[in-house]
Amino acid sequence: MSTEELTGSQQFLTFKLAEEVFAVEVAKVREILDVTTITKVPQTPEFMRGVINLRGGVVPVIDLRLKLGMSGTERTVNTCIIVQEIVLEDETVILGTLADSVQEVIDVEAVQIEPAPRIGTRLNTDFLKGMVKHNDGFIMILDIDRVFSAEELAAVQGEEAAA
Amino acid sequence: MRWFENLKISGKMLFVVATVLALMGFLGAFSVWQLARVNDSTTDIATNWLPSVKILGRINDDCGRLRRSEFQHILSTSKQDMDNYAKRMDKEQEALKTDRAAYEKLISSPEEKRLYEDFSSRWNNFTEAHKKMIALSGQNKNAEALAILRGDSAQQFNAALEILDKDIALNDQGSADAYQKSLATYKSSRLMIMGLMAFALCLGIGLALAVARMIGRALNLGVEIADRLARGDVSVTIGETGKDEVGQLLAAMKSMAASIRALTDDATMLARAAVDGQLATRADASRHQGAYREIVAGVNDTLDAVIGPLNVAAEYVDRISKGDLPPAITDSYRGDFNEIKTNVNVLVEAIGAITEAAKQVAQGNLTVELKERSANDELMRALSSMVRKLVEVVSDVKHAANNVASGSAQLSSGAQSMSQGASEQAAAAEEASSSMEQMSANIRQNADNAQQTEKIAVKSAEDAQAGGQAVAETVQAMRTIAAKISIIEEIARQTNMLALNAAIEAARAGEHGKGFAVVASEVRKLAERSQLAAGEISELSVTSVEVAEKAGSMLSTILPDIRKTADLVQEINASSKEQDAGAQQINKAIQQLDQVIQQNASASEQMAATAEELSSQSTQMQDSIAFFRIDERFLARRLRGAATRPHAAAPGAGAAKPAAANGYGKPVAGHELALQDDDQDHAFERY
Repeated sequence: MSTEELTGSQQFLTFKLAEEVFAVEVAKVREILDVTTITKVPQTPEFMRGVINLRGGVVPVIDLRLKLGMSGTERTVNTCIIVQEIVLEDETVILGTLADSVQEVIDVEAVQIEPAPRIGTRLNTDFLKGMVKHNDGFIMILDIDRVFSAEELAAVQGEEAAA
Repeated sequence: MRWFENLKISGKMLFVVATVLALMGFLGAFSVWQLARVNDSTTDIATNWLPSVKILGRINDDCGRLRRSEFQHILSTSKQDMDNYAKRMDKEQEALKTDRAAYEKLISSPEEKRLYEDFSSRWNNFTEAHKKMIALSGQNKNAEALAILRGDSAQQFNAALEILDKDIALNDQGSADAYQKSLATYKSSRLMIMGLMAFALCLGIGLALAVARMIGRALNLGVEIADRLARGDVSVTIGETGKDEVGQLLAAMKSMAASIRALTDDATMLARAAVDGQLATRADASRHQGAYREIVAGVNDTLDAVIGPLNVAAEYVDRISKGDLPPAITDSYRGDFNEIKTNVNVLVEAIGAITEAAKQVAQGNLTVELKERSANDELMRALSSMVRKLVEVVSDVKHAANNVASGSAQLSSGAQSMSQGASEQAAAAEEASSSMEQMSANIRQNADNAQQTEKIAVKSAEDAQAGGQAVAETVQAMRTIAAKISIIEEIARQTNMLALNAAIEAARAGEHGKGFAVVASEVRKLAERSQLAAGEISELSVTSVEVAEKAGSMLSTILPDIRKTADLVQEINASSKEQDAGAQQINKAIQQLDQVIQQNASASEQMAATAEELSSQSTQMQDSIAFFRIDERFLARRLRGAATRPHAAAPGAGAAKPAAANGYGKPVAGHELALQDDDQDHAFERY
């Protein structure tokens, strides 16, 4: 633990949305699932694909690509659901996000993380913790807690509760 | 009945009427006789039987009155009464006597007479007793008188009355008998008269019908025959005829029909003979009578008048037809016959003129003039046309003879050059023959090659089929591999995901999971590698399947091509064999051609000799045709006309010159061979 803090090393799970590679903290990830049956819930935002049954619990599934302003996720053999824990006003919410494919778990030194540029990507960089150079390309590290606004998640929560 | 049929009609009528009258007379006589019989009986009753009965009744009364008077006499006592009664008795006796006298006249049968005599005797006895009694009574001796009255007198009186009653009964019986007899006679005579009347009626009707039918039938036959004769049907046949008036009428018709038949037979015979041209035939007029004889004689005379001039005309025409030209007819005839004579004379004259013209032509003079005698003169027109044609023919022959002479010279030189050409042809044909031999050998070799090629092609087709099958199996195997690899890919993917999950778990475990995280990372890398490799294999297998499928499809497209090739090669083989046979035939034909060409060579030599002969003969012909004299201007005109035709030979030939030598030494004019396509080329097949 001390080594980690000294080096500032952190572990991230990388995944692909379209052609871009993103990463989230492993500590936030609970597990990775194959896409199973997603039950569409009416009266929910478009990025909310529905809910799945995870060992008896109801977990809402978000289309991250839609949320990030990209086209909707096409379902392929590599499509999977990353189940994450999101902290919202000191409350932990379990949420599934669709990813086109998951890559690997990498170790990143804190120094390697560079701040996100202000321009040059299509993304609102408020959602990014930073970017890491990896191989020849960049990995965008998502601050998943900030991807969803409180209202949105509340809506999702409400849905969940209603469901 | 024959005699009856032969009776005249009046006789038949009289017979019928007489028969009926006789029957009527007999019937009347019979009726009168029967009436007389009835009358006899009635008279008998009226004059005999009924008066008898009446008088006998009166006698009876008289007797009764007398008897009563007797009683009165006896009973009387006074003398006056006795006298009165005696007087009455006398009166009564007197009346009785009168009545008996009247009755005696009426006695008609012996029986009656005998009865009356009995009565008379009895009555006499009574009268004697009466007299005695009256005498006693007059003396008033009444007892004795009564004794007599009751004794003898009564006996006699009663017997007399009894007899009288018998007599009355007898007469009554006789009256009844006479009535019965009269009734029977009436009945029988009525029956007989009715029978006779019926018989007479039947006989009369029967006879009338028979006579009417006999006459009517004969008259109908007569009418029918007359009708047929009127319509011209003379084939009537009439059988035996009777001797009455109708029979005589039929007999007359029979003879009339025979006369008409004879006349029509003769007329038909004459007409048929005239139609057949036998004008010498005559009919026998003596067979006919009256007007019929005049008709037949008139027809005979008509034929006599026609036949004389006709015979003369026939003889003349006969002589003319045999070529014997007779002198003109000098006799004179009347009417149409004179016209015939004139026409025959004109005919004789015309034939003389024609004969004269023919003689001129026979002597070769074709310049004679032949004029048509009328618009319809076919003979002169034909002769004129014949002479004209003859002139044309002669001029043509002259012209042709000239042409033949020049042509034969050309023919001679042509035949020579043809002979030379034929020998050249023979050489060329031999050359062609050897070339054909070589070609034939080449064709045979081609055929062999084609056969081998065919075998190879068949083999290739089989191999290609086997290859195709192998490729199909390969494709199947590749597909199986691809399917299996997809399983491996799936396993690798899931392994990858498990490794990631393990890594996440390890990361969440923090420091404790570090080692496990390394293992999980390694596992994930292995899974990724195997996924990558499986993907490559899958890609490769897909490519291989594509390639193999392409190869298979190519093989399957090759297969029919190879088969087609085999077929074509087989056809080439057959064609080569046919070509071989054809080449041999051509070779044979060329050899035959060679022979023919050699024959042609000899024939053309002979032709040259023949042309020489033809030349001399044409000269002879020119001499012969010179016999005919024709208008030279005409010949010149003909030649000018001929010169305008194509193929006109010897343009410089003079009109009158014999053109025998013309044409010699002129260049040979060969026939121009036109080798352009013509219609007959289509008959040949192109190879």
